[in-house]
Formats: sequence, C-alpha cells, structure tokens
Amino acid sequence: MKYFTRKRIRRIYEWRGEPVNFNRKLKTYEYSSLAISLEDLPRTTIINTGQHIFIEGEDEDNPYVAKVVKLFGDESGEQKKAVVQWFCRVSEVPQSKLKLLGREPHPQEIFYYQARSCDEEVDAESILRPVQVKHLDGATPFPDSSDKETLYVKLSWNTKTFRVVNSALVEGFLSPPCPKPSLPPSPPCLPVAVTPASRGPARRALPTPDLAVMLRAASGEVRYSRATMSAGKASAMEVESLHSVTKLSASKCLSAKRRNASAGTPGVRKKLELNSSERNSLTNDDILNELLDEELELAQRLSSSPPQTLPLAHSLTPLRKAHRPPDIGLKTSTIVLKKLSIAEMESPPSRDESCSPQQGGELPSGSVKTPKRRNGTPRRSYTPRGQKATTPSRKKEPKTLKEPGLGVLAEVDNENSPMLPDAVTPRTSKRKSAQLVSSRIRKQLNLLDNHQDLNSDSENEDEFIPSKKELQSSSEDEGGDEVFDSDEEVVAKKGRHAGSRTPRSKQKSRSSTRTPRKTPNKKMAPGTPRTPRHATPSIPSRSLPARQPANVLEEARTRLHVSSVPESLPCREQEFQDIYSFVESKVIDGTGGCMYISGVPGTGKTATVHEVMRCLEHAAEMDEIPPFHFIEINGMKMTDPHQAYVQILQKLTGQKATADHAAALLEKRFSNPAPRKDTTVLLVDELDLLWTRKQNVMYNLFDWPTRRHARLVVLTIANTMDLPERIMINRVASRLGLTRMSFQPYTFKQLQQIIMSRLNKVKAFEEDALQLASRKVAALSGDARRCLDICRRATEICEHSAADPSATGLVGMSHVMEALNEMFSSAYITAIKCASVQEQLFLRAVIAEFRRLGLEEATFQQVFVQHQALCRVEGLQPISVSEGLSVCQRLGSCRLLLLEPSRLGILQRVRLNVSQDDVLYALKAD
Amino acid sequence: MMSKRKVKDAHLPVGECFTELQRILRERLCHQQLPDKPVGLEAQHKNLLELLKRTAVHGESNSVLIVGPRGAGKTMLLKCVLRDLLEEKEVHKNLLQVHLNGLLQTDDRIALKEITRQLHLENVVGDKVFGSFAENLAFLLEALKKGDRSSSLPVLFILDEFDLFAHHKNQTLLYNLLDVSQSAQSPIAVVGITCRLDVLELLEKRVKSRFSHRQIHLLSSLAFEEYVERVRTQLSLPDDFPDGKFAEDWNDSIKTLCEDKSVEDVLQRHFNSSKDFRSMQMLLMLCLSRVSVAKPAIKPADLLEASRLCFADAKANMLHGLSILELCLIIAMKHLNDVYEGEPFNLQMVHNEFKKFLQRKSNSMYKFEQPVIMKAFEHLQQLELIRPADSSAAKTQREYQLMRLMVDNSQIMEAMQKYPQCPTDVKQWAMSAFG
Amino acid sequence: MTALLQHPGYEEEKLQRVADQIPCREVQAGTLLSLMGQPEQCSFPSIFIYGHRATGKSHVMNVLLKELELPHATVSCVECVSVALLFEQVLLSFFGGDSASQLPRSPSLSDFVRIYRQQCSQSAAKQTRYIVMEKAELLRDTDANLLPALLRLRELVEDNVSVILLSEIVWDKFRPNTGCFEPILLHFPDYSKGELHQVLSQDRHPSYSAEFYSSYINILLGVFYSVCRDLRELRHLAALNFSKFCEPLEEGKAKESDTHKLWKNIEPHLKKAMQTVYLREVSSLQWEQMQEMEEQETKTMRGLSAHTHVELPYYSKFLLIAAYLASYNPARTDKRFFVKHHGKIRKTNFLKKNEKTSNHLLGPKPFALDRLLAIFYSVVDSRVAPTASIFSQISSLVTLQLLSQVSHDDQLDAPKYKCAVSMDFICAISRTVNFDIVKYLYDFL
Repeated sequence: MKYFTRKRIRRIYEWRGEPVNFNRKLKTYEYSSLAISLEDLPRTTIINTGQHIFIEGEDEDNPYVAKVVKLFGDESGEQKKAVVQWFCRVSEVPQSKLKLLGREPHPQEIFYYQARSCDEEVDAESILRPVQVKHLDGATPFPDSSDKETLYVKLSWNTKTFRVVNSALVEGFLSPPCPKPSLPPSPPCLPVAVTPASRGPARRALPTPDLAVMLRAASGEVRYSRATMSAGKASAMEVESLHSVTKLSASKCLSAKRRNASAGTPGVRKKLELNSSERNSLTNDDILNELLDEELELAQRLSSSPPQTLPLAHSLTPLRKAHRPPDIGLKTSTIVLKKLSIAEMESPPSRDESCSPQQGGELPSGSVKTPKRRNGTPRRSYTPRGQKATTPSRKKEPKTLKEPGLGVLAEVDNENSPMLPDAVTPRTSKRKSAQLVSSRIRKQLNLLDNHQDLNSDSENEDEFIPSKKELQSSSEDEGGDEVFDSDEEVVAKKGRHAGSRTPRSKQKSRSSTRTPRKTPNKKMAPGTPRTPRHATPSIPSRSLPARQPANVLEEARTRLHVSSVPESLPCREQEFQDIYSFVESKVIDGTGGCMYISGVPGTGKTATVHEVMRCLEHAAEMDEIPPFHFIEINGMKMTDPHQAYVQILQKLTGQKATADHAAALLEKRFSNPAPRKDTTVLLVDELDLLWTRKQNVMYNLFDWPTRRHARLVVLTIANTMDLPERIMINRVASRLGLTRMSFQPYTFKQLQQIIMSRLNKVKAFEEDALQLASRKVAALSGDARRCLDICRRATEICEHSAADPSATGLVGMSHVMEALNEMFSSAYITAIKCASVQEQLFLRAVIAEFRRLGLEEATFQQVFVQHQALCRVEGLQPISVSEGLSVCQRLGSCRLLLLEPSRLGILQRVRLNVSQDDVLYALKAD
Repeated sequence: MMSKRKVKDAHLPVGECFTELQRILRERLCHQQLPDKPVGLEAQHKNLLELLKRTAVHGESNSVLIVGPRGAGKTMLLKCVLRDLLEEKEVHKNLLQVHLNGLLQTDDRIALKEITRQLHLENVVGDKVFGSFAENLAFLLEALKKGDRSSSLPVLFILDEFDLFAHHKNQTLLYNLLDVSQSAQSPIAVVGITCRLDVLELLEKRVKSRFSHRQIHLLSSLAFEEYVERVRTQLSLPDDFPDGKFAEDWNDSIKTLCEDKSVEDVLQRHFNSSKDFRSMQMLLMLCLSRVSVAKPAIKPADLLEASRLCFADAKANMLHGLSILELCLIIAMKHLNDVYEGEPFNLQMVHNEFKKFLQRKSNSMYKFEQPVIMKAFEHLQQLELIRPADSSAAKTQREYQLMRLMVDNSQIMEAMQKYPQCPTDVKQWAMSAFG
Repeated sequence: MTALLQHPGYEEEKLQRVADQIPCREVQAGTLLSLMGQPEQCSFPSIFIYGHRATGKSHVMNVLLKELELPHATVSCVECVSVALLFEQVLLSFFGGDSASQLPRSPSLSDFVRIYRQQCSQSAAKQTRYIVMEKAELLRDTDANLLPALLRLRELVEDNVSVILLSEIVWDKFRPNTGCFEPILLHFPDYSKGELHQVLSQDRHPSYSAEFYSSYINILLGVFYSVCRDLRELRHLAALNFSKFCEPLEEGKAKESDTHKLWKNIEPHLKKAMQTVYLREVSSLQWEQMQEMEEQETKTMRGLSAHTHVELPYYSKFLLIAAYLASYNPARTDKRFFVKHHGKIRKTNFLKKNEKTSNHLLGPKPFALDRLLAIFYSVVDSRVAPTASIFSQISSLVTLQLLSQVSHDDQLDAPKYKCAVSMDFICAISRTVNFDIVKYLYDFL
C-alpha cells in the first residue's frame, strides 16, 4: 500500500513521444513507449510495447512477468494504463499442477499465461522495469545463467494444462485479444493482494508436500476452476472496495485492508497450504534461527539512524523494494534480509491453518464460504508470533492454539487463560489498540503535508497509507502484534460485541452472568451478541447407519420422496433451455442481467434453476465457459429483507458485517472495476419477501447487474406472475426488466411422466393408479409435491393393507383413492358426525335460527332459544346457559363455528364456518 | 373428636388403603398418566408410529398434523407413540427430539432459541443461546443443511398448538422446517398438534405446498357403552394394588355403580353434552375426591352431586348473590328488554321502570336515592351482568349510557326460584310477562 | 364448631385452627380440601373459584394454604402490571430469589417455563405446589396465551402444580377462542343473612354484651341488607355507627334491653349513612365529626351531598337553565314555550304520538350555541347584551362539566353542547333564581 505514496515521491512515469492514435469512443490516447525515471536519479528506463516487463507483486524477488501489448492514457495524461499479456512463474503454479509438468521446473522458468479469467489491463505505474524473456523449444535445456533478469518460456499455462508455446507468441509482436481498456482505470493495486507467503517461502522450503494438503488443494481446484495465479490478482478487486471504504473511517479502512488480504480466492489458500505443509517440515531450529537473525535485523533498524528508519518502515511491508534500482546497494541488502523476515512472518498462519483440528473438520464440507473464511486468516498473524510459539515467550503462547477462523478474536488470551472460549475475550485491550491505531492514523494524516483533509474521499489510498506505515513502525516498538490485532479488531467490529454478552467477559461480567436481563435483544443491531466463533453448525451423526430400503415399495418410497434429487427434470426442458442459455450468454460475455421466474408452488422453479447451475458449473469445470460464482439466497430464510446483503456478502467473501455495512461493501464491489473478476450468478428465491416500504433491497439487487463492472446475473423466483406490477415501484420494476418466465402448473401427463422418471423402472404402481393420482392433483393444483406425497402415502397404505409385508402387490387404485381421501377430504363432515348430541343439536339450532332471521349470523342468545326448543323436541332435558356456552365454545374451538370473544357472554355473535348443506348432510347421515 | 381419632387408629390399614387408592386414581385422573395402549385410537397409533419409525430408521423426512377437538387425546396419543418408539433399541439412540408449544414460543425468535437449546447446537453455552435472531436462524439452517439422510441423526420436531405457529411473522419457522423436511438435508419429522380443523387454511400457500398434507384426525365416534366402560376402567384399581382384597371390593363397588340406573342417566347426560375425555375425568375426580375412610365408596348420590356441580349455571349462582335492590334492577332490565325487544337501555329508564313498580305495589320495598341505585348499577356492570352497548362512554353521563343485559331470562327465573326470602311482590313482578 | 373439617394426611389441630378462622365457610373449605387431597397426592391441574366480592374466596384459600403449610404462591393480578412480575413472584415463592433473578429482562412464557423446569428438576416437589391467582379476570386482558398456558401449566412444567383462579366473573367469560383445559368450577355462595349476622357479631365491642351487639347488627342489616351484602361494607358501617347506637346508654336514657328506643334513635341515622358514607360522598372521618355536631347536623348534611347545589354567577345560572331546557325540550316546542302570545297552540298540536319515552329517560340532546342564546335571552328577565362575558361563562360552565361540548373543537362557528346536570340539580339552581323550570319542561306538561 504504502508503496503508492512512496512511488509518488520517488518515481516518475511519462509518455515518450506523441500518442500513436486516439480512441474516440473511450477518449484514450495510445502511446508507443513509456519512460520511467527515478527522481533525483538521472537514468530513465524506457518501456516499449512488445517489451517484457516486471510488474510488481508483493514479493520483490519475483515480480509478475508480462509483455506490454499496449500503452495508453487519457487526455490529461494522469492515468497511464497498459494492456499486457501475463506470464506466470513456477511459484504461481500450484504444486499439484506442477506435477503435470513432469519435470523439475527451472527456477527461471515462466509460462505463457492463457487463462481468460484475469484481466490484462494494468496501471502503467505498476511497471517496474523491463526484463529479458527468452523462448526455448521444448527440447532445449535451460542454460544455467545466474542473472535473475532473464527468464525462459517453454510452455503455456492455462490453469489446466501446459502446452508448448511457439516463439512467435512470446517474442513476436502480435498481441493476444485484449478487452477495451477501461477508464477511469483502476488504481495500481494488483500486487497488494498477492500474499507473498505464496512465493517467498515456497521456494526456500524443502519441497515435501504432504498428502492431505495436496488433496485439499486438489479439491479446491475442482471447486473453483480458476487459475491459481489469478488468485492473487483477482483478489485485487477487493482493493477497490478498500479505497472507498476509507471514507467511512480510519478504522473501517483498516478493516478493508485486512479484508483485501483475506479476500483472496482459493488459489491463495491452496498455496498457503502448500508451502505451509512444507513449513511444517521445517525443524524448529530453522525457524528459530530465521527468527533470531530477523529480529537481529529489527534491532539494528531500530537502533539505526533516522534516515534509515524510514526504509525500515517499508521494510516490514513486503510490497516494494525490488523495483528500487539495484544501485542503492546498502538498502537492497537490508531489504533482502527484511524480505526474508517478512516471508517468515507470513508463513505461520498458513501453517496452523493446515494443522489446526477445526480446520480439518471444516474443510470437507463443500459450502462455498468455508474455504473463503479460512482465507481471512493468513493476514492475521503476519507477525512472527507463529514461530514464537515454539519459543518460551508466554505472551504469544495462545496464538498457536488459536483456530484461524477466529484470528479476529485473537489477542485476548494474552491476558486471560487460554482455555476460555474465544468469544470470551475482554475487549478492552483490543479497543485500546484500535483507538491507539486510529489516533495514530489521525496524527499521521495531519502530519502529511499534501493531504490534510481527513474526510476527503479523493485519494483514499493516500489517506491510510501513511497510517499503515505508521502502524508498521509502531508495530515494532510495541512488540509487533498489537497493530495487526487492531486491524483484525476492526474487521471483527461485531466480533468485539461478542465479548459483551458472553458470561465471562470482563467488563460485562456483572450484567451477563448474574442478570442476563441486561443483554438487549434487538435484532440485527451491531450490538447483538454473536455466536461464539468456534461454533460449527452441525447435527450429531447417528450411531448406527440408516437402514436401506428393503423391498420394492420402500425403494419406490425413497425415490418418490420430494427430497430425492432426480437424474433429470422431465417436462421442464424448455424452461431449462431458456434459463441455461440466458445465464450462459451472460457468463460468457461477462455482462450482467436479471431474470424473473414465476409460478405456483411445486412447479419446479427452484429445482430447474439448480439443475441449470449444476450443468453450468460442470461446463465451467470442463472449461467450456469461464468460471463463475453461484450464490443463492431465499427470502424466507432470512429474518428481515436487509439480511439479504449480509448473506450475499458472506457467501461471496465469507466476511460478516451488519446489514448496512454489507450493503455498502457490496455496492463498492459491484460498482468498481476490478481485474480478473469473474461473473457472479445470484439466485433470489421467494423474492416477494424482500419487499420493503422503500424497496431499496430489491432496487439494489436489480440495479447492480446494470453496472458496467458488476458482472452479476440475478435470477429471481416468486409465486405470482404479476409481482413486479403489483408490488414494485416503477424504478424497481423497470430495472428488473422484461426477461420473465412463468412455470405453468403441471398437466396430469407431465405429473405422470415425473413420477415415472423418478421411479425409473421400479415397478411399484399400477398404470391407472398413477394416472388417477396425477389427474387428481393436476385438477386441484398441479403441484408436483402433492403428487409425490400422495404416491408415497399410497405405497404405505398398500404395504399396511397387505396381509404379510413380504408379499405386497403393486399399488392399486384403491390405495391411491384412500390416500387422496386422507389428504383432500375436509374433516368437517366427519367432525360433525362425531360431535356429541348437544353439539349436533346446537348446530341444528344455529341453522334454524339462520333460517328464521334470513341472516348468516345470530347471537348466542337467539340460538340458545332454538336449542332449548330442540331439546324439548328431542326429549332431552334442557341444558343451562353455561353448559350451552361451553358446547358453543367447544364447537368454536375446532372452528366449526366462528365466534366473537367469549367475554361478550350470551351476546356473542355466532357464524358457521361450514356450509349449511354440509352440516345438514352430516346430520342427516346418522 | 378423641373418639374419632380412635376410630381412625383402629382402621389404620384401611386408611392406608384409601391413601393408596387416592394416589393411584388421582395420578390417573389429574396427571394424564399414560395408558398402556391408547383406547380407540389403535389405527392412528399404528399410522403415526410407522411414520416416525421410518424417520428414525430410514432417515426419511416427514411432516404430519394431528387434528382433533380438545380433550380427544392428541397429546396422549403422541406420547404413547414416542414411548413405544423409544422402546426400540435401533431408534432409542438415533433420535433427537425438539418439543415446542405455540403457547410458549410466541414468536420465531423465541422458538429458534428454544430449538437451538434443545438441539444443543454449538452456539449454546449453559442454557444461553448466543447470536441474534438472524444468526440463530442461519446457524440452524446451516446445521440442518450439513446433515444428510443416511449419516446424520434424525430430528423430531413436535409443535404443540400448531395453529399458533401459523400466526408468526411470514411463517418463517414453519416454512424452513417444512422445507427441510422436503429437501435432501438432515432427516426431520415435523409433527403438529392442533384442535383447529381449518388449520391448513392458515398456512401460506408456499408453506402449505411444502407440507406433506398427512393429517391424522382424532374424531372418535365412541358409543355410550364404550363411554361407560371407559368410566369403569378409569375408576377401577389395577391388579398390582397392594391390598388385593380391598381392590377387589372397590372394583366391584365401581362395577355396581356403573350399572346403577340413575348413574347411567347422569353419564348419559354427560355423554350427550361432550364425549371428550377430560370433562369425564373432571366428573370422576369430583366423585373420587369425596372418598375417604369415612365414606368408603362412591355412591350414585355423589355422582349426581358432582354432575350438578358441573352443570350448575354460573350466572344463576351469581344472581343468587345479588342484593334485592340489584335483583330488582335486573328484573326491570328484563322487562325493558321484553318491551323494546332487546334495545339497549340506560340507568334512567331502568330506574323509571323500577319506580313504576314501586308506585304500583311498594309494600315491601321503599324508595331508594338515585345515587344508591347508581351504585348498585355499577356493581352489576362490574360483575359483567350488563355491559355498555357501545364504547362511547366518554361524553355521555353515566346515567344515560346505553347498556345491554347479559343475562338470559331463563337464568333470571332460575335465580328467582331459589332466591332467599324474596318478597312475593317482587317475585310476581318478575313473573309477570310485562312490567 | 359443629361441621369440623377433616381430611386424612393433615393433623386435626391444624384443621381445627383453619375451621376457627373461616366461620360459615366450612363446606367450601371441605370441598376444596378434598379436591386438593393429601399434600403428596396430586390435585386437579386447575381450579376456578368464583363468587361475589367478600365471600371469603382468597381468605379461605390463604388460610388453608398457610395453616396446612403447603407450598404455594399467591399472586394478585391487580399488582402484576406486567407478566414479568407474575413470573417473578411465582418463582420467588417456590424456589427462592436466585431462580427469580434468572429471568431475562422481558421474560416470555418460554423463559418462565424453562427456568421453572430447571429449578424443579433440582428440587423436586414432594407436595403439590399451588399457584393462587386473585382477580383472575384481569388475566384476560394480558397476552392471550397466558391464561391457557397457566391452565396447562402442570403439563408444561411436568410438575405436580395446580393453579387456582379466583374471580368475580363467571368462567364462561374466560374461555379463549381456541379453547383450553377446562378447570374445575367451584362456586362460593354469598353469606346468607344469618351467616352475615353471625360473622358480624363476632367482632363485638368487649364492653357490651353479645346479644346487645347482635341486636345492633340486626338493626344494621335491616337497613342495609336490601342494598348491599358486601361483608366488608357492612363491617365498616357497623364499626362507624356503633358509638351512635350506644349513645342512649351512655346518657342513661335507655337500657340494653329496650331495643325499640335504641332502634328509634339509630334508624334515621343509618338512613343518612346510606346516602352519605355508603356512597363515599363523605369520608368516614367526616362522618364521625358529623356525629359530634348533632345540632347543626341538618345544615352540614345539606352542605354535604355534592349534587344538591353549587355557587354560580347569576347569568351562569340562567345559562345553565337555558342549556337544560335546550337539551331536554324538542327544538320545535321552543316556539310554544318562549314566544310571547303564542295564541292557542295546544300541546296536542305538536305532541307527536310516537314519543312514548320522555326525554328525561333518553338523556340530554345536543344543541347549537345560538339556540342556547335564544332561549337564554327569553328566559332571563333583564336585557343582557351578548357580551364576551356571556360566552366566557359558557366556556367556564363547560370546564365545570356542567355543560359538555359534543362538537369537535375545530368547529368554532357552530359549537354544540349538552347539558350535563341532573333534574334535581337544575331545580335547586332555578329555585335560587326563583324560576319555575318545570313549567318550561316539555316532559312535565
């Protein structure tokens, strides 16, 4: 981060020569070459198109390699951008894939990068210096030259396979297809996100990958078919959000920063695990040694003279040094060392990630967000803490116990005993550090001569970079961890509240332990207590396994259960096709859009969409289409419409936030451009539940896809066809657009086909039985669920009716009939038949009174008169008013009658809840 | 008194017998002690048992409603089923139960906390549930989603007073439970208990669609003989009663009691009024409570007494307690009701009516001040024997506020019959059809 | 004590003590006791006791539970403004303070039941626990689930607890709309005259003989019994008036024996009491003072009852009269009453046949301001200009609540009023300005 400001001070980029041509549409000038010069240094470096260059990554040693395809900027010339063709280094390729290479990769080797999923447009100002790239034919061996400035290309890498690449591509000037350059261009942010952990150690460590990790990596690979290399860079999009977030508050910006690091995609994680595994293989001694001399370094730096403290400040951040021209000898040397230490520092999180038990427990479960949440962790312990654990320092002890997921909640344990649940942390310490930091930030900002204004939204990065620097330096004199804590602390803003409810937390102890009544229970308020982080939602598993279906009927029953996912969805081919092509097209040309799907319940809306998604994801794996996220939310599964933001954010990035914070973040995410971002497909089920008075939730959902950089496809599902017209205000409805589709209720043929396909070949039903069921349902609702339930019930009836369970025949008409009766016949008539004499009398009295009044309503008093009369007729002794009331209210309680509140006594009005004919019929019958 | 105690001492073993008898029968009548098998509900029992067994054994998700009038034995049935279900070893360890009651869990927030608590999910510490409403929901759903049919424990959700859950906002809880029961997640069975026949109409259509529409109706068409039989079984002592001789005698006495004609009439009356189980238990409880050493058996008289207590008209009882003035006012109101066929009246009219009566034949009663009348009037209102016709009490003076009589003529007449030393002229006045 | 309570499982002397404390309620106590059964046996889940005020419902309950030392919680629903208080009291009296403190701030029934179950799993009950709810009718106004839940409490908490509801209102008016567990209904009949006599004579003055006091009670009941049977009221009145009753004895005018004289002395006095103390128009204290000042008692009496007269300005009185006429006479009859030389307009001419009930039964009718003024000018003898003072007087009459404004406040131009005073009040007023109002009232033609 800090590097930007540094750069502003130290390096000057300018175009050389006149623009080659001018793009009217985008108002961009294209240049042939770019001059990079260092201020107060004479020599300048010239970058021409077609030249190979280093683009800075976090790891100074091996920055990204690319070939300039095009250089361009806007009229003002402020924004300089370059379109490049990426190469990727050995270290960027996951170990698992390196196997495909079949040989030991040469350290100097790079691969021609051919994955769609990362965007070729970078900020020119992130260019470091030219580099020499040689193309070698597959056969020729690598010349072992020691200079790091020459790299060798043999193969191309497309995240799946290595292919031989022809020299023309590499050396030649023909440029690969590149997207329109976008303005305003993104700030140069690529490097930030790539966690150096991914590289530095990877090479230094003894390469002994352990199986588990490989496996995990592989699984991760399958789940997200995306370039590992893209990992680092894709996460750059997070940085976008970061920039604007800063306007919220200093702390927020910290949190954002924290997030960027965390927001890495599985790629990062995989790498972490990989080298982490290797780190494990390191002996403690190694670690210790490294530690020692790095601390030595620190000590030196601290003690050293002012001019040196500044570089020192950088030195903690892996970001930049390498592009410092080599002639600044002394610095570089220190830098290298520093870098080592950094690399050191960064490995531990990944280490305990791979070894922490909770981790093990979590990973297999394939939900999209789990791995991502993991990613949150590495940033946590950038401090040497990890290794320190091995050293006798008590202070750091708990850190190793910590499960990555709650790095957030860390510090705590410094003060109180490790065995406390993490939520129990007394927040004071954190809060202190947070304040400390923010105060420092403020101080720093004011110090900065060029940006005085705290709240200026412009130049966000400048706002917090110094702070960052400050942090770093401060971090040294405070034993290193505090600052990072504060970082995390902010992210875990809500996390802090966790402490506030947990019984043993210090400042709240009185309120929470003795008198829980203190704890407020406002929903959604950031103040609400949170689930302890270590809690993993799970149902205990059963001791002895579920019994498998024994006979045909049971088999049929399991197949007919609504939950059982069929091989294919019959009768919805057309809809399937439409949705598929809709989504596919959007994904392929990286645009966004909305689709509205309606249909009565049980017509397979959600099922179809899921089917589509399954297919598309498979296609993505096969690499037929670019990879994409699939996220699903359901209006009924949240407690209030605004939770939608929270859930989306969580599923997208795995981070938790309050509703409005989440909204802000998503807004950023979808409105700002980011390189190497891939499409998100969002399924919104039960849309109507997201209705709010101002409809802002719906509005956003439909507005984001229209953004240029959003790459968001929204599929919405609801029951009613005219929902947009009925409940949406115009600006929402118009954004929803006209791509709509309605699922018709199933016809009886379709229902029949569905059952057949479910049953496939299991012969359990007679033809006409099925037909009866499906016809009946089609006539009533066309709800597939009903039909399946009926058939299931029928099988049961059939089973019970059979003399001995072994010899059960097919399910016949009679059984289905019985099932239908059970489910559809209203119980009113039987209820009346079974009612007691007085109750029946009372019903008759009601009808008689209605007849007399010619109304459908009468007071109890009036009815009671009739009742008495009827009693006399029937020769029963008349009942008292109280008894009459109790009879009446008994009828009311099972809703044969509708009554007014009972405190009206004999004045309460009585109405029938059944048709008079039904009553009479029921009474006639016996 | 001394003598009495002696008597007791002499009969001490008998005394113990009666204590034991009381204990056993009270257990049965008041404590809803489960019968060995639900009488008259065998079919439903089998059906439900099968259903739950499939969930427990095959991990097949299900949802079912038990519908029946109050006191038909819904809860009893369910409890029996659970008892029998848990007897099977295969089931015993393989079932989680969550009991909710619409009366207690009055909204989804409370309900979710309760579920989480009963499932002992990991965000529970002690009996405190952490997390906001939203988080709890997410957590629970996540938990259920993780499970799958074959491997994870089936969960049995029992929602008593099911209809009340349908009034929760958006029916979120119901939707989610039923949704889980219809999708490939951890197997659950949702059992709802309700007395409302129209319960399905309460469900939103998407919720309804997810409900399997299995309903078990408890509409017993039991005949009078069975009813009497039930009474006998309820009262008779089990065979394992410590004092066999005593039990024998007791059971015989009960048998004879049930055959008695007058008893039969009483029971018939109760049977006619309601078949439900609990009201019968109440009747028997009233009889049983009188049994003691001094009164070693239930006599038909006791039963008559008990049923009289059950069928007593409460309002008439209350009228009986009124002062003569208040009674007169009631009578006046009755007359007004008769004259102006049930139009509301105000104090002035009543007072006027009363005065007319006094003028005509005021030998027993003397004239009362208006305020005294007013006080009596207000007392009647307190007793909810009269209530304001409309709630526009604000502007009008009290004496002109329109009221309605909430007592039926029959009740007044009944009260007049047994009113202590009621002046004859008042009686006549009450009897006379028109004031 | 003839009808001695007896029930196995309780000691005789305890029962004896109970019996002594509840005169004339042995029967009810007996039934209750038999329903409750022996302490360790379980009793019926819920009992609903109804009966008139001061028929010893809660008294009997409390005496039984206290004397027999049964675990119980007595809650008066009047005190429980929020359910929280109710839960707290119950838990407190069953399990002690710590359990009550476990309740969250705004406890739901769910919380209550949960904590109850915890507690009673820790300290299982050997004896039946009783929850007594006084003034149970108020439960209907609290949250709808409370009453059914209470009636079901035994099943919900799975403890041998039984809820006893006490109320003046009959059970029919309690039933929730979807039904609930029916409690056993128990009626506490009112005390008969004899019983009242017996109970009242118990608290006799030590310095006088029993029969003397009981004769006094006789007289008292003779006056009040027809009006009120509330034991408390009668106790109060008896205590207040006894000194008066004894006066002749003090002065030696009469002996305890000659009851007639005593009766003569006290009887009018009691009648007065009925119109004053009984109606709470004078406080008991004032009443006692009055008894001191015999001589000017008549005056004080007049001064006492509020609705006889009130001091008003001259015009205000006429305004009030006018208002009264306006609201009790049909508008069309004004011509006949207030126009000079109305010639021969007979009552019959404008008497409508259908009007059976008089306006004095139906209450005052609203009238417009100008009509009031018109009548006012014709009624008041001297000529008055429609000055602001007149209008201000009207508004002050409204604030005195002698008039009430029926129209909304925003209708400034044509406000409508009603006259809110009674007949005898207005008669008193008009007497002071010697105006014969009855001549002008349509009902009394």
